[in-house]
Amino acid sequence: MISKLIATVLITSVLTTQTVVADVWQDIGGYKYGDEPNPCEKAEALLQETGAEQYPPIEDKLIGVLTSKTSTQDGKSIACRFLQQVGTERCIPAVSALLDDEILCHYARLVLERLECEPADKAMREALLNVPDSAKVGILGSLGVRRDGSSVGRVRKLTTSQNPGVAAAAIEALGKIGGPEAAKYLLFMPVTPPKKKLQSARMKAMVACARTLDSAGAVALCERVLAGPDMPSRTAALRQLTIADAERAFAFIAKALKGDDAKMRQSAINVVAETKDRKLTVAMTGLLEQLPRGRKAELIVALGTRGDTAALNAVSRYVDSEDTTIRRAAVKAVGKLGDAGVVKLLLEAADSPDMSATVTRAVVGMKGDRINAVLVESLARESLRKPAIKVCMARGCTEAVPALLKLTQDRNSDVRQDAWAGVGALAGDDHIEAVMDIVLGIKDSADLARAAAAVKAIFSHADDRSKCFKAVAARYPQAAPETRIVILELGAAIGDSDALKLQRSALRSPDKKLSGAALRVLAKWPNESAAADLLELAGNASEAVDRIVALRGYIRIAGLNAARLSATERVEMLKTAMILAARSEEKKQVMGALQNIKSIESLKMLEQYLDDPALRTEAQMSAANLVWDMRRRHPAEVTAIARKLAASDNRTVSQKANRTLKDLGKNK
Amino acid sequence: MNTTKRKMSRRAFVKSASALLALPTVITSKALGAADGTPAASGRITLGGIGMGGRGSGDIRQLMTDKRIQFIAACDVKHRAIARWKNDKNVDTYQDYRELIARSDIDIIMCGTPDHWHAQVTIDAMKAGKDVFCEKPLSLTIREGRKMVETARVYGRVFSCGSQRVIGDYGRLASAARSGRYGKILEAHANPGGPPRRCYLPGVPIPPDTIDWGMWLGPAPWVPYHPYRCAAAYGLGGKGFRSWYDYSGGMMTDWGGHKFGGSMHGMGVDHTGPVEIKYPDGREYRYLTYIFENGMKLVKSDKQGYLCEKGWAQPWNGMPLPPPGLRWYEDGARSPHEDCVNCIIDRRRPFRDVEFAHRVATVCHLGNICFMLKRDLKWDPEREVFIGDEEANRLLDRPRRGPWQI
Repeated sequence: MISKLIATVLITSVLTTQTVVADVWQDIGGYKYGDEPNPCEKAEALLQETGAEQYPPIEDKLIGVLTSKTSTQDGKSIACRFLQQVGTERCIPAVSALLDDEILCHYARLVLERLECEPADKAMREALLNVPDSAKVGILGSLGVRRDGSSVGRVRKLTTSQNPGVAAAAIEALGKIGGPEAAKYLLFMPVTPPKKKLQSARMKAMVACARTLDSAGAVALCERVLAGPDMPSRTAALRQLTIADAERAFAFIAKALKGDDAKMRQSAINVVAETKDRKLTVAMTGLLEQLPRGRKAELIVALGTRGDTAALNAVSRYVDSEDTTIRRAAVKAVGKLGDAGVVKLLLEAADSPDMSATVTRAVVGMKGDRINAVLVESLARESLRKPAIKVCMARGCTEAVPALLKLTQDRNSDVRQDAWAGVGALAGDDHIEAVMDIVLGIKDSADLARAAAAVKAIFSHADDRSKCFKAVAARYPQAAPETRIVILELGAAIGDSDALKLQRSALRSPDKKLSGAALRVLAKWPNESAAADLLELAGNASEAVDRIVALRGYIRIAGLNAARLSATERVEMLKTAMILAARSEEKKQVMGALQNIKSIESLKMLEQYLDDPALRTEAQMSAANLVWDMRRRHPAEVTAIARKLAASDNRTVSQKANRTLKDLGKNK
Repeated sequence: MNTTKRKMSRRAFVKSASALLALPTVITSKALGAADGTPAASGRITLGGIGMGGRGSGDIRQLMTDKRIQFIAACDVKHRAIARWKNDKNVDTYQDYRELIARSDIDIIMCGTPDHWHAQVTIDAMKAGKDVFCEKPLSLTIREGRKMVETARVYGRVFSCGSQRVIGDYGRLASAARSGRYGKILEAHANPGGPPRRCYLPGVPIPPDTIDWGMWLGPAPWVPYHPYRCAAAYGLGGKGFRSWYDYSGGMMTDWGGHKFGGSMHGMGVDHTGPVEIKYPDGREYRYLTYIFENGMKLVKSDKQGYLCEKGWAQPWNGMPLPPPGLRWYEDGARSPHEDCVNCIIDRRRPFRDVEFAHRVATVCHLGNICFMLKRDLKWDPEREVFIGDEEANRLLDRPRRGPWQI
C-alpha cells in the first residue's frame, strides 16, 4: 500500500513537472542500447508500482516517443514494449505508422496483436498490401493469430505473390483465420507455380481450416488433403475426419491399417488411440481378426490406450494367445480397460518371467475399489499365488498381509519364500506381533533367514521402531537361540536403551554363540550409547578376537556422524583406542576415523603420526583430507601442516596438500 | 548444410543402390542387427538434433545409449556447437533446422535450443511428421505451449518433454505423499528460482564465424548482438540467454520444469492448473502461492516436499514405487529418453507428454506474470485465460518476428 502511494506521488510529480525533473518516459525516446543511466529500467520499476488507472498519461508519453522525429529506433522499440502493457485504441495510429519499417514492424505488432479491439485488426489489414515483404509476412502471422475474417480478401491476394515466403505466409494465415470463405478459397485456389512448399503449406492450411468448420465443410477439406501427397497433412486430416465424421473415416483407417504405408498406419493407430467415438471402437475390434500379427498387436495396444471399455471383450480374447507379442499387447490393453473382473485373467497370463513383469506392470496401474480384494482372493489359488504376491508387493496392497502370514506356514518351501518376501514389503507396525508369533515357531534355518529378512524389512519402514522392538523383545525369553540372535540384530536398528539392555544380558550369556552375536551387534551400534560397553570389552574380554571386535566397534563410534559426541570427546576416545590397540590394523582405523573429526585436536593427533613408518600412509592421507576440509576455518593451523604434507613422497597426498595451499593463497 | 558429406537421403540411397545388390557386398553385422539386441539399421529410429549445446548434446548422448536409435543429423546456429559433428561421417550437419526437418528419413528430433525457439522448432517438426523430444522448459509463453499440444494432437505425434528429475529426483517424495500414509496432500512446496529480466546490453560486433545472429534470435525481437544475450543458459558470469525475458522464463521456467513439475506430478494436478495465484504479501501468503480448484496449494518456498494431513511426507524403504494411481514411466522405462522411444514405438503418450509439460510450464509462466504485475491473479485453467484481467491476458503470448509463425 505504501509503495503504491509512493509510486502514485512519484508518477504524478514526474508527469506534472516534466520540464523541471527528468522524465523517464520521455528519456526513452533518446535511448540507445547500452546507454547509462538507463531510463528503461527506471520505467519498468515505476510501471510495476503503478495502477492501471494511471496508465493513460503514460500511454500519452509513449505515443509521444513514437511520433517524435528525434526518437531513436531503440527508443521506439522499447516504447512499444511498454505499450504492449499500457496501450489502448488511442495508440493505434502512432503504432501502426511503424508497420512499414522492417525492424519496427515487429515491435508495432507486439502492441497491435495483443490489443483486444477491432481497430487493431483494421490497422494491420489496411497496412498489409502497402508494406515491404518482410513486414507483410509478420502482419499475416498476426492476422492469422487474431483470426481476422475481414482480412480474407486482402490475404487471398498475397497467396499468389511472387515471393514464396509471402505466398506461404498468406496461405497459412488463411488456414488459421478459417471459416467458409477461407475454406472455399483454399479448396480451389490456384497454386502457381506448383511449388512443393506451397502445396504443403496449402494442405496444412486446409487441416487448420477444417478445425473451424462444421462437419460437412471439414469433411470436404480433409478428403481433399487425404487425396494429396503431403504425408504429415494426410495424417492430420485423417484425425480431423474422424472427429468430423467417424463413419466416413473408418474406411480410411481400415485401409491404412491393412496397407503398407508405415506412416499412414502410424497415423491410423494414433487416431484409434486418441479419438473418442464408440462406433470406431466397435469397428476396430471387428478389424482385429483381419490383421497380421504385428499390426494386430499395434491395434490392440491402441485400443487399450483409447480407453473405451467396449473393446475389452475383443481384446481379452488375445490374453492367452500363443504369440507372445500379441499376448503382451493384450495384457497391457486389458490392464487399461478392465476392472477387478479381469485381474485373475491377467494373473493367469504370468507364466514366464517376461510375462510376469508385463502382468505386474499392467495390474499395478489398474484403478478400482475391488482390485486389491481380488488380489487377496487370488493368493488362495495355487496357480495365481506367485504373480499375485508380486503384484501385491508392487501395489503396496497391505490388505494381503493376513493371507501372506498364513502362507508363510505353507507346506511348499517356494510359497513360504514368496510369502515372507511379501510380508517384509507389506507388513507394518500393526502386524509385528503376529509376525513374531510365527517367527517363534520356525524350526527350519532357511525359513528363519527369510523371516529375519522380512522382520528387518518391516523395521526399516516401521512408523514407530521402538514400539515394534518392544513387541519383538518381549518374545526374547521364549525364543530359540537362532531367533534370539535375529532379535539382537534388530536391536542395532533401534539403538535405544531397551535394545541395549537386551544386548548386555546376551553378553553375559554362557552361550558363546549368543554372547558373540551380541558383541558383533554392539560393534555395529548406531549411536554412542554402546561406547562404554565396547571399551570395557576391548580391554577386558577373555578372548583376543572379542577384544579386537570391541575395539573396532569403539573406534567406529568415535568417527560416527550420528553419534552425539563433541570433537574433543571423539579425539579422546581415539587416543584411548590407540593405547588399547595392539595391532597396526586398528591403529590405521584410528587414523582413518580422525579425518571425519574436523578439529584442531584431531589434526594435532594426526601430526604425531605423519612420520610413523607403520602409520604414515594412513595418517598423511587423513591429514591431507582434513586440511582441505578445515582450510577456511583454521587457515593458520592448516597451512603449517599442509606445507609439511606437500613435501610428502606420496603423490596423492602432496597433490591434495598443494591444492589446499593454492586455495589458501587465493583466499588470503 | 554440409553438402560435401551428404548428397542424398538414406532412403534415396537405398532405393538407387538396389540395383547394386547383385554384386558381392560386405554388410556389417551392425547394419543387419547384432546379437546384443541392436536392431538392423532399417529398423532403427533415426534421430536429428537441433540445438547441440551442452544440454542438447547431453540429450543426444542419452538417446544414443538406446540401441533402437540412430543419430544421423545435427543442427545449430552456433558454429562451435556443430563443429564437433563435422568430422563424424555418420552425421550430417546443418545451420538451418528447416533443412534438417525437411529430410524424410528422420523420425524424431531432439530440440535442445534456447527456450524461445522450442515452439517454432517442434511445431515445424511435428508438421513435417516428426516425433519430438524437447528439453524443458516447454515454451516461452502460455499460448505457445497450448499450440504445441494442439499440433501434437492434430498431427498425431509423440511429444516428450525433458526433465529426468520429476521422477528421478522427486518421484520418491511424490510416492510417499501419494501413499496414503500421511493422509491427504494439503500443500506442495518447491522453489525453482525467479523470473528473467529485460536485457539492455549494448550491441557489439559479431566475431566472424561464430554465430548466425538473425537465426539465433528467430522469433524474438530484433536487437543488436551481445555475447551475454546468447551465452549458454546462465553461462557468462551468470549472464546467458536464460537471464533474459526475450528468450526465456528464467530460472522460474527452467528449474520450474523440474521442481514444480515434480510437485504437480505428486499432487496429481499436472493435467490442469491453479485457479488463483497469490502474490507474496508477507502476511497470509509469505510466498508466491498457487491455489488449485481442489484446495491444494503449491507454494514457492525454500522447501521441496509435501505437507499432508499427518505432517511432511517422507519416503521410506520398501515404499511402493509408484503407489497405485500415481503416473509413472510405463513398460519399465527408467528415463524420459527411454520412455519417449518406447512411446514412439507403441504410439502412445509418454510420461512427460506435451500436455503435462505445458501445464507445468504454464504454472511457471503464471508465476512470472504475477511477479511482473505484482498482484494476485485469477486463472481459468480450462480456457487458459485470466479472469477479467485484460492486462494480464496480454502477457499470455508474444507476437513473433517475421516468418517465425506457429
